[in-house]
This record gives sequence, C-alpha cells and structure tokens, in this order.
Amino acid sequence: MNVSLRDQGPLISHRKRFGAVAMALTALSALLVQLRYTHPLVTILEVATAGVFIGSAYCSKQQWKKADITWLVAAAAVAAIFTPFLTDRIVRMLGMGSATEIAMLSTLAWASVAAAVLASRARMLGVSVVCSGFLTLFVSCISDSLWALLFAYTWCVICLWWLVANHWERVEASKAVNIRSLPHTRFATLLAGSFLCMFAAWFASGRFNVLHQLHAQWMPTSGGTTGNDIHARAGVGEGEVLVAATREPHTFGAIDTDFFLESPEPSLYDVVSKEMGEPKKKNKAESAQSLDQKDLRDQHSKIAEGNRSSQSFSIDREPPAPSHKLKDLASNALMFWKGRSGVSLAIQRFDQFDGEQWLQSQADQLHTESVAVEIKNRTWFRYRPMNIPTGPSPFISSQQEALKFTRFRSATIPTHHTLQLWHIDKVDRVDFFGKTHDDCLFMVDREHVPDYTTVNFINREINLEVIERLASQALSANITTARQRPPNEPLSCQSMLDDLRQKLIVDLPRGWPQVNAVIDGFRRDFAFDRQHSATDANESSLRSFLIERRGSDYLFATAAAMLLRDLGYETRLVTGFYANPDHLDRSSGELAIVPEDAHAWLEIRLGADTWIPLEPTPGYLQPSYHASLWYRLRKASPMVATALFVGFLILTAGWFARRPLFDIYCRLLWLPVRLLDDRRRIGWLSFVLDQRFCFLGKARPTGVTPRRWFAEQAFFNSEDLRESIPSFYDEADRIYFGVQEQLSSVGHRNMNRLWNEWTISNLRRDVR
Amino acid sequence: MIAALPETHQSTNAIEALRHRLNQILLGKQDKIELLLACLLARGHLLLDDLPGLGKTTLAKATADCFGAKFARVQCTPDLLPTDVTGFNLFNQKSREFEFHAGPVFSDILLADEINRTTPRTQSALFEAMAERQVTIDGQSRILSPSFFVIATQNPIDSHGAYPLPEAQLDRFAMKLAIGYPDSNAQMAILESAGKSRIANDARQTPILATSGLERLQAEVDAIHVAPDIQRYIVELCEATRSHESIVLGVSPRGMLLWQQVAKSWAMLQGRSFVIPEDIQTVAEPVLSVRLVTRSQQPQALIENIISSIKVPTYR
Repeated sequence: MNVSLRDQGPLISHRKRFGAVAMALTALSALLVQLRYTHPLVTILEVATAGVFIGSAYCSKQQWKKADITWLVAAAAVAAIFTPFLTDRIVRMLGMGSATEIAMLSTLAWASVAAAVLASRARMLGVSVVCSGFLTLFVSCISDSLWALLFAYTWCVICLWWLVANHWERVEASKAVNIRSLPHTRFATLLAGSFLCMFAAWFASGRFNVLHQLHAQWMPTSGGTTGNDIHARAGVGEGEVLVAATREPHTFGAIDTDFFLESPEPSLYDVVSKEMGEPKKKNKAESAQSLDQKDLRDQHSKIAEGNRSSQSFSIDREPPAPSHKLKDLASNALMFWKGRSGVSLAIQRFDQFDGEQWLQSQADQLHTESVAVEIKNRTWFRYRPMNIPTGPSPFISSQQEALKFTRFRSATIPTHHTLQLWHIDKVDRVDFFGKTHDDCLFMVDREHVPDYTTVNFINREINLEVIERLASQALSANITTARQRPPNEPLSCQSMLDDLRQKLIVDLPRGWPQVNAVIDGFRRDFAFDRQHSATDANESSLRSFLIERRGSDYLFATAAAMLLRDLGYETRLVTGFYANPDHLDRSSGELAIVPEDAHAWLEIRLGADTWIPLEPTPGYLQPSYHASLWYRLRKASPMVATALFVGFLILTAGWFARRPLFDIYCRLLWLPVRLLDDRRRIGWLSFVLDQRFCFLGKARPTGVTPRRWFAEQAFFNSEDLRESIPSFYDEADRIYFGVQEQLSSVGHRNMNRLWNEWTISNLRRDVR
Repeated sequence: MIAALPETHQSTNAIEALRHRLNQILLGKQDKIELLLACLLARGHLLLDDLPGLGKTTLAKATADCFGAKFARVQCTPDLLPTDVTGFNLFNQKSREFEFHAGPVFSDILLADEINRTTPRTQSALFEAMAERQVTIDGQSRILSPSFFVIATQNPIDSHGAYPLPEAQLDRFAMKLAIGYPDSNAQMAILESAGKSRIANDARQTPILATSGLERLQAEVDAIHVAPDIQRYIVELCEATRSHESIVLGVSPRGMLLWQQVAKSWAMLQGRSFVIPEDIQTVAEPVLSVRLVTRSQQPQALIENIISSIKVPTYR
C-alpha cells in the first residue's frame, strides 16, 4: 500500500510554545549581547526587521486561521531567518558590518525564534529548542565575559522547567517499580571486558604504524606544539630545549643542528630581506647601458649604504627563498601585539623614489624629544609637537594597545600611525625615546629593544569625515609641490602608469574619491604574490608588476604611491609589520608577529603633518576609519536608494505580472513533474490549483476539501472540464486515501487538462 | 456512487433496499435515514433528540422491522426499575430454583422511549448493555445479541420531571439526531398515505435482511480502509475539541473510535471502500453533538468552527 504516515508530532499547547520561545529569545539575547555588532543601531535594525517579519507571520496565522496561508507564513519566516544577512549587506554598504560567522549565528538564532513562534507541530518546537541550546552554549563557550554564563544558566533553567512540564508524566510512568539486583553477572562482564581491552591494547602496542602516529599526535615528544611538525619528527633533542632555543637562541650553548645554525639573532634588515627577498645584485654592463658613470656610482653607493644601514629600500628584489619554519607561532614570534587585528605597525618610512629604490630624504639621525605625562600615577610619553595643530583633528577616540617584544633586534619600536601616548612599566626617563626624521619611535642609544619589554600605547582611529575634508582642501594646494621624484625620471613604466591612472580615475573629483579609486583599483585588479618573479629579467620590477599585475606588497605600495604622486598627492612608502588576524594566540588573546608579517604599504599626506596610511595590497585589511552613522548613511544613500528603487521596480513588476508569471512557471514545471510518480504528481497539481485560486483571491479555507471548494467557486464553461474535475478527484482520493496505486489513463488525461488548461487566465472566466 | 464495492452487489442491493424502505416510512428525511443506517452499520447506538410526534418511534420500529429482528420497547417512566430493563432472577417454588426472566435488553433492537423520563439508576442499567453488549445480574454475566442496537428518544423541551442523561452515558451513544419537521411536500405525502390499506402496512413489516445479513454488513464496515492521514485528521480534530475554550468536555478516545467507525460505515453507504476527509466532516456533527459539553454556544456552531480551523488532509 503506497501510503506514508506523515507523523509530524502532536499539536502544541501554549505552555510548550511559551517555553520554546523563551529559550529561543534567551539564545538570541546571548548572541546579541555577547557578540554584538559594531553599532547598537545595527542590532536594533536587525531585531526590528526580523521581529516585524515573525510578528506579522504569527498575526496572519492567528487572524486568518481558515485560509491556507502556509506559503505566506513560510515566506515571512524565511525572510526573518535571513534578515541578518540582509542587514549585513546594508551595513557593509555603510562601511561597517561584522564577521560572516556572526551573521550565520544570528541566522540560527532567528531560525530558532521563528520555529518556536510559528511552529504548528511539536517536532518544530524540538528543533527550535535544540538550535537555541546549541547557540546559547556556543556563545557561552566562546565569550570572554562571565555574563555569558548567566544566559547559559537561564537557558538551562527554562529548558529544565520545559522538559519537566512536558515530559514528567512520561518519566513518572516509566520509572522502575521494583529493582531486583542480578547476581554478579554484571560485575563479571565488566571485569572480563576490561581484561579484554587490556589484552587488545597490549597486543596492538607496537604492531601498527597508525598507532605510532596516534601516539605522536597525542603526546608530542620532541618540540613543537603540533605532532606532525617536520622539526619535531626530525628529532632535535628535547622538546623544552627546542622551545627555549627558539625564544632565546643565545642563552645556551651550541647545538649542531641545521635548525639552530639557521637561526642566528636576526636583525630587522635580515627579517625584511628574508621575507621580501634580497635586493638584486646589479649587472654592471646592464647598469652602464642605462645610466651614465656618475649616476652608476651614485646608485651603487646608495645600494651599498642601504644594505648596511637600511636607509633605503630597493623594490628590485629576488623572490624570497622558501624556507621551512616552525609552525609554532609562539616560538617564531618577534613580538606579540595586544590590540586591534589587521593594523600595520611602521618601522621605517621612505619618501624619495628613484625608480628602483626608496630613500629617506633626511637621513641624519635627528630625533625629536619626547615629553612625559603623568596619568593615573603612570608615566606616559608623547612627542613634543613640532607645530601647533590647527583645525579639527583627523583622529578620534582612543584605545589602549600593547606590544610585547620577544626577540626583536632593532631599537625602533613598531608603532601605529595614530600613536598618541606610550608607556613602559617603571620607565620614567624621557631621554630613552626619540622620534626619527621619518616619524618612527626608537629607543635612544640602545642596540635593540630589550627582550620581554612591554610597551603600552594609546592609539586612535582615523576620522573619515575630517580626512575627507582635508583631502579636498589640502591636496589641491599640494599639486605643485608634491612631485618629489629625482631629476632622472620619467620612469620606464610611466606610460603604463598614465594608462592605469586614466582607467582608474576617469573623471572623479579630486580628493578622497580619487585616492579611494586608486587603492580599490589595485586591490581589485592586481594579485598579491610574494614568490612571484618577473618573467623577463631585463624588465624593471615595477614594469613587470604593472604588466603581469602580480607581485609583492612593496610593488603594490610603490605603484600606488607613484600613481598618486602623478595625480599630485604626496606619498611615502612605509615598511613594518602587519598584525595578522590569523596569528592569534587563543590562550593569551594576543597576535603573534612573526617574520612573515613583514609588510610594506604607503601613506598619503593630508594637511601639514598628517599622514594617512593606505593599503593597496589585496589580502591585507584596510585601515579602519571611524565615521558617524549619519555620515555613512549619507555616503551610501545613492547606492542604497538605487538598490531600493531597483528592488521596488522589480517587485512591482513582479506583482503586476504575477499571474502570467505563475502560468509560465507552471508550464515549465510540468516538464519535470511529468517524470514523477502519480502520487507526487497529484500532490503538485493540488498545490498548483490551490495557488491559482489564491491568485484569483479565492484561497481555499483550511477546513475545506479541494473537491468541495473548487466545485463551489468555479463554474465550468467546458463540458469536458466539468466532467474531468470530479473524475480526477475521485481517482486522487483512491490513490491517497484508498488502496489504488496508479492513475488510470483517464486520470492522466484529466490531470493533463487541469494542469495545462485550467490556467489562471482561463480560470478568470470560470470563477464566480 | 463513486466506486462500487468489488465483492458485493448483494450488500449494495441490501443497503439500497433498506434505504428505500425507511424512506417510504419516514418521508422527506433521506439525510437522517442515511445517518441512522451509518450508526446501525457502525454498531453504534442512536439518540433521537426531538420534539414529540416527529416519527422517532416510527423510525425505530421500522428499522427493527427491516431486519426481522427481535424488537423490544421500554417506555421510560420515573417508576421504571433497572430490573425492568435488564431482567431478573425469580425463585420458582415448584422447581426450587431461580429462573431468569430476560428483560427488554435481550433483544436485537431496543427502543428506549423518552429515556430522560426515567431515573439515573435505571438509565445506568443500560450502561453495561450498550458498551459491552452484556449484562451482569446477580453476579452472572449474560451476553446480548451481537447486533444489539439501542435507539433512545428524548424530548428536549419538556424538561419538567426529566433526568438529563449523564455525560458518561451520552458518550456511549454513537450519534444524536434531530429529525426535525418535514417539508411541505413530505407533509402532503404523509397526509395522503394516512388512509392506506392494512396490506400495505403488512408489506412494510416484511423483513428485508436477516440479522445475520446485518452482521455481515457490519463486518464489511470493519474492512473499510482508513488512511493514516485521515486518522491523523481525526486525532487533530479531537485534540482541538479538548483544547477549545468554549468546550468543557471534548471527545474521549471512545468517541474518537466511534467517529472513525461511523465514518467508515458512511463511506460504505456512499459505495466506497475507503474513507475520505468529507466522510469525517459529514458525520462530525451528529457524532460530536452527543458528547461535547459546551459552555454556552450550540455544539453545531462549535463543531463547524473546529472543522474550519483544522487543515484538511490534501494530496501532498
């Protein structure tokens, strides 16, 4: 008998629904409170939108109990569930937004709420409870706040009450009436089982390779924190020695392994060269062809000087050699950053470019004095201002961040571009710190920052509104003075830069829009590949980069800087480190900064002493800008308005054309439906007929059978149709509620007629 | 007729003959007669609740005549004793033994006229008979006829000195019918047939079907197929009666079983071997109105309300 029992659980009482809704709301609150968005208005927007969807679905369900509006309720529920993604899209247009994972969790939370509120079966309530339970416990686990536990406890209490209230009778009915202890068979079975397991373990021990690997994964025996680390497997002495060695290589005696011989104390120059590649050695003949003797001498002296003192940065470099490094972040880290992820910390800035190298125009070791400030019994330092700033500050708000040095071999302290104050515990001497000519903080008369020093910073955020205004005001004044290219220009790739500039800028107004267009263009059209080497060795690196649209980050920064200079903006290259979000040490919440995080980007000058970082390299997060919600709304309004208008047009057109569209849809649907078995085909036809009557404003009420409803609502002009409808329903009844297996040939013909002839356009004539 | 039963022209003919005979006797009430037959074939008991003089007793007697069944009638009065219904043991001085004198329940069709006139004690004497088809007298259980069928009548308006039936007993009836006044054409026909000859009346008393034939029809009802979707529909409707705010007492599991059984016999009367949602809806009102205890509203309105609020099983 081809009849399936669609057991969907019993109907729902108010108490059951109330409990499930309470649990779902607890989960939602936990999510919104613990993993809240960047702006509370976003949360309010999401809650309001999804709440309206679910509320209207519930009200519709209650109001029109008689009407079959399942699809309407389902549509509203789906809309509510996907509201987080919708909100996320809108918020991203405003330049805010949060991680996709948060949107996914929110989706789950709203699914739980929708299931609890709109469920008509107990099974749906069960699904809601499972979802809310998972969500609450998950949020409690990943949240740092103790308050998260409150939500978990609340959920558990409600769940316990819910379970007891709903299932107590069943539990009570199934409790043991009489307990009779068996003779010692259970104990004997347990004992025998234990012996069997022990014997099996003894037997398997040492016989199977897979068990060795399991053993190694479980308990690493020689260094590293991952069992499959190549160095660990190579067997480099004891694990703790290895770990200590990678942190402090000079603290113990020589261990003649390759690993340690490869790991001398790395200078900052070594780190950059190793990660970005060594500067290429120039072929004399090649240089002689392109430069005269005087320039060649100049050039060589600069290269030599640069290599020694790192006061230049060549963009003509070999690809970095691939190397096997420890995967363990802690032992490989130069320093640890506790603060915002994705920020760049500068160690050097170069403001002149000669076509091959970036140079510092003021190479003298002049440094600015620092000033001590007493805040809450702590000594903080700041730079002595060179000029009294006028006008609104391009920076806003402040937050404390910190850098802990482990084996960083440089006196320069990597700093964020918005550095305001810094502090080292128990250090109150102003003369310890200086500011180099390229705006970098360094420790005076020190070989390097002492290991395990923690430097606290007060950093700020960039105020997008102010810098946009500064850009439009100041940049036009800089047009004539910005070109700082030495006399030996133009670049060999000038024409390519010109083409790129024309393509990216088109007719954008001067100021921030142009800057954004250039940065976006590089991020969109070029690929980041640090291992990439030019196919033609005779080409300059920059030219190869522009041709092949692929290269290292310093090439991105150089090309963007050159392009912006051509547009009249003053730019400079910055080297430093990138606080990679992937390098998060979960136990401490700090970001490990390893040699691979060496990075180059550029800064643009806005106003007198304001340099704003730009990130043209794809894969690196752009600097975060602060802007009010109103400003973001104003900026995004054309885009949002266009999207809304287009959406409105599409929806309006769809609404007016819904009937013919549905007829076309049915025509197309008939092809796959014909391949189904009779039972499913009847189901589809019943659904389609219901929808057709819905479109005509004659939705079949809940308690009325299709046969009765269609007979009451429609009169049939066609004699054939008049006969085929009851005949079809008789057969459908026999298949669905009786024991008939298949439609007869007459039934097939009737079904075909009903599907293809009883279209909405035809029905409009026949419906009363 | 949508689909004839495969095996039984004989059954179909018998049903058609029963229908024809009863329609000749109670004119203009085809729908009520159809429901009476459904109740009879479902092995249920019927409560006729209507004004005097509308043909309640006539219908009951005609039904008994159709089967040539042993018919008994109890005129329920306040002084009627339980033993008057069930029977009693009488000590025979001659044989020095107790002899059982069977009461009216030892019949095939029992007409309990004006059942709300007798005391609750006597009404409850019918409990066991209606539910178990057996009675226990002086500790001895006695089996009743397999086709035992109770037709009880009651007058809804003349309530002075009446004992309303308790809910427990009402639940033992499969359905409650109100015959209602016939329409004017039927009334004309009644007047016209009033002076017909005695021979015609005799012909009306000729049995159409033996009680064994009735039992066979009842067995065929048992074989009617009820799909799981239909059963779920019944369950949902019953649960809705239990949670409805205007209903004090919803449908019991016994009522639910009877509802399914009546729907099955209704399906058979329509010539089908399976139950469809319309069958459940059609018999809902007579089946539920006997057992729903409502706060204020008429049960009919509530039943319509419940049926219209529960989604009918469709072809999906």
